Amino acid sequence: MLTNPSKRLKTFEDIYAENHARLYRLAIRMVEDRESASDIVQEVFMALYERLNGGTVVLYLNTWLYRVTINKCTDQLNRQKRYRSLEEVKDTPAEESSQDGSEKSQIIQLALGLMKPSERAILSMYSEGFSYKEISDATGIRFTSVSKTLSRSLDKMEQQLKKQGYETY
Amino acid sequence: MRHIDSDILQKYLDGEVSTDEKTGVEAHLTSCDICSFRLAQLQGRAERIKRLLNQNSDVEVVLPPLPSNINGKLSVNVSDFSASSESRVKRPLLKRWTIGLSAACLIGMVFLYKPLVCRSENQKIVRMQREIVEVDANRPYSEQETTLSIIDAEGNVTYVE
Repeated sequence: MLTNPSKRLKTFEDIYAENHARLYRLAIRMVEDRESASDIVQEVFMALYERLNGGTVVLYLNTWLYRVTINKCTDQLNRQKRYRSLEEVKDTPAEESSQDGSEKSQIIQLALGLMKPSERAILSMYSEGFSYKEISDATGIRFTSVSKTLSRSLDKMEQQLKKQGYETY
Repeated sequence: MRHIDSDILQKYLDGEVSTDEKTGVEAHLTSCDICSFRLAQLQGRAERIKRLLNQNSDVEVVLPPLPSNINGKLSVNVSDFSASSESRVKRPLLKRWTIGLSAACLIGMVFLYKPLVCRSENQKIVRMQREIVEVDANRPYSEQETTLSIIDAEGNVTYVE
């Protein structure tokens, strides 16, 4: 998907409407909090507008949008130390991780909560159907390492889901 | 029999293997039940995790309006995800070392070649000596008539008066 490098002329409004939901989904998977995710996506679009309005050319817009969103989410996680150690999560009741989700949603959020920011990003992009090249460009993971990192992240996610009592098979 | 690593199977599932890798994986899978079973497991796992993640973030999002200080009509030239030419091609470590060492050897040879040439030119003269042709007893030594004889590597003697 999204592999055509041809150029088109669009308005900023179009770019905003086309990409907002995708970036919001990525951000919500990474920071686990809707309000923070919404703020991050707005910050990304503000940063994009400032660059474009200032005359800076943004090559490969989608890559740029995903990369900046991932970086901002990672900064947020590092600031808040939201990714917790395994020991901490074991002692945390599932209800605390999500206030309005179903039980399944809580289990997934708990499992994601144990992943590193880069692992969350790679799983999130993979689940959206991005290619390894696109994942590599957006996350900064070396192209030749994407399969190893992805395989490891899927293993980790599977183990965490099993620990939470959710079978992936 | 050596089994295929999980990350290669994952790459194969995602259609990201090279033609050679694909041929190798498929040849192995025809004769290995363990890897075939593992491949089916990985496929099921990937699909379920993808579905779970998509369900979990499948939320209705009302597109918030653009902030008032943003001009939504700003025209932008857009190109999609990067073509392979955008980012530098990352070569495997072994390949990079091989290229680096080859380059270092070539540069070394260029630098070493020049002194060798100079040395071989110098080696043409094996011996050089000054001889007094005829001694004049009434003259001091510095004013005596002399001949310079140069002997090269091949034994040829050249006389310079």
